[in-house]
Amino acid sequence: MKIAIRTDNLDDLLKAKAKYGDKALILAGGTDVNVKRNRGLIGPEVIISISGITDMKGIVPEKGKLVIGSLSTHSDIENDAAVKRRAFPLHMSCAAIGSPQIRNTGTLGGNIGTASPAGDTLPSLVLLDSIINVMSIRGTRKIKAAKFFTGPGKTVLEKDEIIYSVEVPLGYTSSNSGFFKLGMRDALAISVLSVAWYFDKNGTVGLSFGGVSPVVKRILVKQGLSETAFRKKVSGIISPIDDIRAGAGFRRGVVTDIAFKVYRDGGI
Amino acid sequence: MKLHLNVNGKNMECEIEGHETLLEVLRDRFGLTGTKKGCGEGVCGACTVLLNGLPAASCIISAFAIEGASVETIEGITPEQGLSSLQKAFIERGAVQCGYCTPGFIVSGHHYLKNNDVVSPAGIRRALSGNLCRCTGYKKIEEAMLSAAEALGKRMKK
Repeated sequence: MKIAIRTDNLDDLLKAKAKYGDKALILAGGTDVNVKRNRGLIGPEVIISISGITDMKGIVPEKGKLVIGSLSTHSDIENDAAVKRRAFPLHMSCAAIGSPQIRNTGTLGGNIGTASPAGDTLPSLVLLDSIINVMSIRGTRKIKAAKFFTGPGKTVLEKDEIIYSVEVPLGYTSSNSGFFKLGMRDALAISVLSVAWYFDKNGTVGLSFGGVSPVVKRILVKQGLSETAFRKKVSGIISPIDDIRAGAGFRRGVVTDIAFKVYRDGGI
Repeated sequence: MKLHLNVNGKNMECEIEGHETLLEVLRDRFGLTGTKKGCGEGVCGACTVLLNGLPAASCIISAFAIEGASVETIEGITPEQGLSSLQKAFIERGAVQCGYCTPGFIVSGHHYLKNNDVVSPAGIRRALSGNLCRCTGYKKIEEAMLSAAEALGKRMKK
């Protein structure tokens, strides 16, 4: 790293990102960036630390949705009463991340920007049709979570853009929605796979899957499908791979089992 | 660049490089070697400190990013004289063997006990879930936490 910039000011951040573009890596909590850096996997020329920008913190209720600043930590989100009551899958996602130490430091914007196929907030954001607000010196864009991710570590972010906030629709409670993570253990395990779901009033079931395709996939199905038809739908949308955490066959089998159990029983 | 921190109640400053972690600053710049480096990836919890009051893995925190923050380390948590109830309980219950993970456990455990009047085995386990111990098998650590909770007059939830 040649240049380390710290800013408390959004305009200065946008100017710096416009100036350095791809060369600059944004540092929020650092729980991904510094792990990769300590391992020697990345060595960005410029790091811009943004954790002091208060405009990008906080969880604000608006009509039918919450606007979550991208610098909100996983603990902030897990402990927010409105998220727990009315955006329950996201509450569960944030509670499933890492450990207390990681949740106290890591941010929602960081999880989105890292764009890991196993990122624990992503299935919930995609499931709930969240909007990701991005910003640059040129202006702002609203991007649907489902359109935001294009591959492992890849997003539609332009090189001068930053993730400013996330709009999460409300109405998803612990009785009509949820999130399940399968890891090698409860804490500090990267997800092998994950499933988020909701049941709406009109008999539609939404399900999204993490860790079983290059980007999170979502399906909307009517209630009442046969087991075979349902499993075929799930299996058709995913494309799991073998990696250090699990084999492709294991992932395919387990994710369809969990999805079917949720679909049949209303939860897990 | 210059870094200012409040460490264990004292205002401190030093000159740092952009790549330094909070762990490196605490140990190498300030000589606070109670905080240990384990995995260097935020997974083992040996480097746990309280950053602005919350447990954090100091090995993956960029020091330059936390200008002005308050940090509490195992040195700050340890009373001037003697040991805290939790530290005594760790010794009495055999929750320390090689001791390398112990400062991290004490910091996480201290934070949990300080912020919860009602404690439970499940709450303890979750609070300590970011700390690894390869010697004790965790049972004695949980017992030490329960014993310290009792000594501190906490209410127990089953």
